[in-house]
Amino acid sequence: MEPFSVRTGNSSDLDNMPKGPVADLPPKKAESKKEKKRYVRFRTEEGAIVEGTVSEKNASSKVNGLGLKFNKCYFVGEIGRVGRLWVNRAVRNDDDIPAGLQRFEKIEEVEDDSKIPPAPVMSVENLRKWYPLKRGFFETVFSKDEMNVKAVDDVSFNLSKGEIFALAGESGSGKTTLGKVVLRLVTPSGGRIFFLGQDITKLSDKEMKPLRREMQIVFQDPFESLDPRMTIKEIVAEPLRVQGTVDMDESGRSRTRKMGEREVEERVKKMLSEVELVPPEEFLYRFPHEMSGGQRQRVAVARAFVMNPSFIVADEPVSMLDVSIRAEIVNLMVDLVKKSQASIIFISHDIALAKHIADRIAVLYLGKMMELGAAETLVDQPLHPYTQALVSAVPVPDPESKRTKDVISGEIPSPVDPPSGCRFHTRCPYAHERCVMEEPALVEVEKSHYVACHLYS
Amino acid sequence: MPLGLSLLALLEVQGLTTHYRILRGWVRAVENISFSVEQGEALGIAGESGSGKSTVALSLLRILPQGGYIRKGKITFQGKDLTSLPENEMRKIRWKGISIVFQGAMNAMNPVYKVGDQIAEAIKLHEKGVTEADVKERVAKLLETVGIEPSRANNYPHEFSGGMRQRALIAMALAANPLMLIGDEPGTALDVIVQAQTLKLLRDLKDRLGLAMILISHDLSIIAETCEKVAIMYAGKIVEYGDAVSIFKNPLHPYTQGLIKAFPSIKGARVRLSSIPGQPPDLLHPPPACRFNPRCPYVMDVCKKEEPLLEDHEKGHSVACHLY
Repeated sequence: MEPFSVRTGNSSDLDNMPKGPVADLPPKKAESKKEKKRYVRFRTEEGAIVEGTVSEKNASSKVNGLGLKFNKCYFVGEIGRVGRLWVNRAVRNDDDIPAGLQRFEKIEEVEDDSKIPPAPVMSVENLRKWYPLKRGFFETVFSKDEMNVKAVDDVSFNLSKGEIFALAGESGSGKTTLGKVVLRLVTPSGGRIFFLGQDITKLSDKEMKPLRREMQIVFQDPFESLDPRMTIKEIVAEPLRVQGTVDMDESGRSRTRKMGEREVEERVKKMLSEVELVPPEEFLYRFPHEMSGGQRQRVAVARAFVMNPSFIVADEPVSMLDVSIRAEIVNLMVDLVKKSQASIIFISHDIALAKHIADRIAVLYLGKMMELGAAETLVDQPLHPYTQALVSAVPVPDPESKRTKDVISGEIPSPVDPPSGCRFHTRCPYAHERCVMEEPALVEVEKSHYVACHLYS
Repeated sequence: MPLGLSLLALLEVQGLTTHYRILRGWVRAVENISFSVEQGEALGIAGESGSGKSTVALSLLRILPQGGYIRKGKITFQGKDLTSLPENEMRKIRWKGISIVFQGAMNAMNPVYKVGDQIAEAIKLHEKGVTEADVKERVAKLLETVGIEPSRANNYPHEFSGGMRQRALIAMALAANPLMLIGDEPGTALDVIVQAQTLKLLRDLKDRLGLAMILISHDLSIIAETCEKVAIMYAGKIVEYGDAVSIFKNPLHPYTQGLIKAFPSIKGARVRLSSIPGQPPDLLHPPPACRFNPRCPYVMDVCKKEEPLLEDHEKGHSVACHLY
């Protein structure tokens, strides 16, 4: 029997920003032909909603042809928060039951209810990445204040399943650092990261490795992110060779094994056709320099998606590409995300592009989240003066539009010694005394629209 | 004359053809293009990378890299044909007549000289007999024009932010009081806000100093915001040319239409972005006849046999397409 992710509570409890720990999910993309895995929601007899990935094998019967039904289910955690759940777990005696386990009888799958937001794949709490500044010997001895570059400072958000979450902001706002920290490519200095229910903030590299199959990254520059001495096949196959594949054995336990050469080639070919490098045979043995920028970025996308991950960071994936092919790559990524139900953090300085593809946008400034909301609302009715400035600075392809728009002056200040109070006050047209003294908190101003600005509190 | 070329134009380019010689043959980077820019007018040249737009800029100043040759055409600037001018005459045109702001504000300055000295160098080279005090004053004034504190002249480039370096480069380009400014992708490597500030500065300068401008960019919206006239380049040719309002309101060439549609608009509802399928052609062996025919959604038989000419569709708007 296996644990799977669960969140319990009434639907009203489940707002977009739950604070508790998130549930455990097993490596869910098990490659077993015998078994079907599904992401489902259940309602317990008491009416609480629990959700997660389960294998149909564990279900005792089917309800209405579609629903799965479980007779016994154990839940660890607090009701109303996200916890861990075992289905039909064999419990021989009381000692087998971990502390804090709750038992539910007879849970049934419920149909998709859009009122209940899906459980977060990732949640980030007060995340911080400070880089200490290198200083001379005397400074270290005689001065006690630490100097830090506050690249990411106190950022919190949740990422739902299948969501496209855009990070927007100028360069130096900390978007890329945030992307690297949540992947644990960079160790955070503070805060917590939950990924698939597990606290990954302090995991060692070895402990991270099995989780790495679920997280991938697409870099900005396809001319630099692909090894020039590897063939396309080797590039796309590399994650498969490193991570192997997960099989499910008879008793439902998962086991990692190495993949055979033929299997690898099959997977690579399939992936290449999915990124529209067709026929795949023609591309397998090419080298990156034999391909155009757009094709190279397709290879980078194929490499990221070949493990079927649940989470991808795309760091400015199209900013190096020509406008005419940009849309193709963006559409390809959106389609793959929709199809595989992966969640993606899309880092982009182009807020216009983010508006069209993202579900939500977070605007960063000097490592702080200034505004967070649904993509269209945030761009059409920006609340924070910084977001307003960003949106109005985007050039419009209409020669008759007003050319004398106001542009805020100045440039992003140094993150070493960010301005006191609200970090934007030095450039903000509405800045007043309070902005210099006091740092505004990120508050929900409208439903699911958060802003950190004193104008709204 | 098709393109509404007038005798008053400050710069008139006719049939410019620039090729690069490589081992395997000639790369046809710019093929038979014509346009004109009048005093105080801004022309935007838009196109994908590899469409030849930067080669046009380099040809105008005759600073093509090795292997690049102007093979045909005339470039008339203030009545002089720049293609046949001797090198020492040409040097007088560069910077004083036409000056250029290069792409990549980060690397275009010498890191070991002070910013002020680099600007001063340009003044001293182009004007003989200026006094040291005069130069200093001019540098301070130039920096002020582009919105930089004159005292910053004593800083080195690394002490400037990206936006300030771009401004300093513009100041440097203005050092010898040119009649025309070419901007090769100004603001491409900059953030939106700094980019908007740079574009605003260029517009102000154009209005204040009556500069003629050629703005080269892959970003149509930058051109829409800054230029009165637009030339859309594809694979070394101008496929559409004319008044900016007319081109953006009523794009005629399928490539222009695709390019405009491919831009995510900050206004309007969320839509799936559309793209132009295929890739820009290899300029060593460009497709026959219309160079856009392999990617064109409206391709006809004639497109593969006969080359469309850039012809007036309406006044001030010409297009090279068999559809019209």
